[in-house]
Amino acid sequence: MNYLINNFREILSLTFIHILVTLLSTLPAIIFGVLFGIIFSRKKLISLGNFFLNIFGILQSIPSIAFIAIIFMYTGIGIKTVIISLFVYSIVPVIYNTTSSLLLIPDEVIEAGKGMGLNRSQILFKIELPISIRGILSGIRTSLTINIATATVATVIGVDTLGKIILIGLRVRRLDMLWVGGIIVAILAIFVDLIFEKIENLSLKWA
Amino acid sequence: MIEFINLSKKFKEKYAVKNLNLTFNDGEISVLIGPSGCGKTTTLKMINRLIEPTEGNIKINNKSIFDFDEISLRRSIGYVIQEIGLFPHYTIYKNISIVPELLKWEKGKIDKRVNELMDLINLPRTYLNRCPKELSGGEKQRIGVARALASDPEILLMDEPFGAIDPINRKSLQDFFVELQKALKKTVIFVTHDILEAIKIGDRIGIMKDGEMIQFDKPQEILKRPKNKFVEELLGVNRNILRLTLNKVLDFVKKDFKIINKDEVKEIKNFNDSLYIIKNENNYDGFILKKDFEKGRDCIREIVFINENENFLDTIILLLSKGEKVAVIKCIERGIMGYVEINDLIRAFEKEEYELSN
Repeated sequence: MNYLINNFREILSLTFIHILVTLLSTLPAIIFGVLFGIIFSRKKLISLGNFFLNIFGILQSIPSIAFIAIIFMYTGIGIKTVIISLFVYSIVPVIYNTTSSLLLIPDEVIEAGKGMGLNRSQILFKIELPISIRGILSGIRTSLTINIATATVATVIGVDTLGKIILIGLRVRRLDMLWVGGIIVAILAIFVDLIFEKIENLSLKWA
Repeated sequence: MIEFINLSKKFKEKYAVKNLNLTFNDGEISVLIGPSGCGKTTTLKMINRLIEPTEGNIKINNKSIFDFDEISLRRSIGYVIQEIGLFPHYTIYKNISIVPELLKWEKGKIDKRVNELMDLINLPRTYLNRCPKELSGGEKQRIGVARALASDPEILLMDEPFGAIDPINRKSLQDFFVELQKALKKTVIFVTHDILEAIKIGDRIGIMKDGEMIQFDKPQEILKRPKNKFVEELLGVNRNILRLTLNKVLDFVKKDFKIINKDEVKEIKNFNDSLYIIKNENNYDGFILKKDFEKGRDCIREIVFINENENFLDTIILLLSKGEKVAVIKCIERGIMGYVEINDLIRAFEKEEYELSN
């Protein structure tokens, strides 16, 4: 507790950077993830989509620290590496969830839409996306939560996030620092989770 | 009127539909039936260009479907598929109003039309705010029909609409649809794989095999004169019995009956009519047949009621199971309309059989 009070300013700025790194990497991941997710779910690209889904499934099982290390080998030290690796790592659940929930929609529903005279974009925006919104949101939720946790690792390659507190705490064997760092990250993750639970519940009505 | 002119569809090198030349009459239900892969659904989907024909043309009221923009063509044709085709994220209201919405009707006009349709399909307006998953399969299917009728299209395309419904609800949906069609007189193309359904609702039945139209005719004609072995097999061994379902008892109704009160029974001296129905306040107690009375039997029998649309087969089965020979036709609006005798029905059928075999 003393540690928290004495170093409040630094902790606050580390938290801020932590959130910034998370958002900078996750927002593009969400945008591109949904986009690719939609593309991979198209009828003509379905085999390509399945192929990528399998690849992503495997990628997702690589531990995040290993992933960052691999990206680091290509791009070196600095925020660029952090953003790129968090982006690549967190885009996976977004694409995965978007594509699989779009593919879950019964063909009949799409066909009914077509038969009734909806054009392509109307089918996408009025039918497909609203129906699969829950799955897409849960992908985004996963990717945000993962990135909040993974952003701690950024410290290893020179970007000071909340991981710094944990890393130093570990080095100098200060249990209080480890607790403070861990708990703040956990609170951030839980906060995001709660917000998304609320949003997802709003769309639960028809699911 | 929908016309097929040398209509063909090839998938890769194989014909799914081969050289169809047909005319579907206005105001009729034309049923397309055949084994899976016979091209019936492909044929249906070419009409609203969900599938583009490879060769030939389709004309709707003498205008080629290729002269329409495909989106506006589809908006002008009602389309019904299995109940699963409702949009799960839309309320019933939004599901029904989707085409009027696309056609940019005013809010007030849409409201009015949606309410009208709910009355037409006999579902309460309170359902309008519900989601499809809160409705039963049969109810959802009615909504599917209402949705297709929303902009009052002349033509309805129905692709195995009742296919996923259990047999009991299926029968009532078929009855519902036949009744609806009597009022609406739409030009309906209806795909099914259920021959009983085809016979029940079709004004005309088209039997398809390997992309070709084998026989296109009225159900009676097809049952009486199947064109070849394939059609015979499709109709099944019950072909002659099925024919009985097409004959309506109303054609053989007899009207020489009289309704009398219970206390009048003893006073009857001379029978002028063949059948006396005994009325007891609001109920009917039974009936007396002239024949029975003359033979001096104790002759008050229980009445077997049927409705005015009943067919031969159901009536005969009902009478046989009750051990009676006479059925009284009672219509909800008009009361008792007359009676039919089982012997007349059987004789009429035998006569038809005899004519066919000669």
